[in-house]
Amino acid sequence: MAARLQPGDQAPDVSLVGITGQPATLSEYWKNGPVLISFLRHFG
Amino acid sequence: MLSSLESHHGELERAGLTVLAVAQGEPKHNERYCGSLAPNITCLSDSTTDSYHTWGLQQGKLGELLNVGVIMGGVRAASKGHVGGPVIGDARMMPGTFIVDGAGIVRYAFYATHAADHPPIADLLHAASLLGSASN
Repeated sequence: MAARLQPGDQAPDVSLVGITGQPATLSEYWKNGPVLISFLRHFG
Repeated sequence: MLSSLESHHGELERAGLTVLAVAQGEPKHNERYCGSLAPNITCLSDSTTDSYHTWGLQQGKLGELLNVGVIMGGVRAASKGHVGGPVIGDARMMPGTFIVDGAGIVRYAFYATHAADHPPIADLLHAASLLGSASN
């Protein structure tokens, strides 16, 4: 289990999939500037 | 959280933040839910929850998944017209919200204390306001 992140930590990059099915990484977004990332609980 | 981000996405973007939501399930689920609930938010899919674990999120315990705060959160959602449907993903996975700067450094981290726990938008805006001073 990964440790909780704290301010000042390097954010871990992960590979995800966009809404149209295209691959995406979080770093693609933050390299263009600050990002807010919300990990949602679930749909339903 | 998704509807709150959608409601405040203008403020958050003016604060310099690109808003991303990571959701469980397949892109088709994201398209259905994000497209209707949050058309201005970029939604990304994780069908495995691996990214959740990588970011230090984990499955909630019973007391975190079902307590007064969770019930009240459900009541608030229902009062806004949000009704539950089939669960997509791991219903035990807890949510979290982060702000990361352009260098990939975590500047704000919020781990929910119960399943309906979300950071106040004011806290997110405050954290965003500190980004400029942190890089100076």
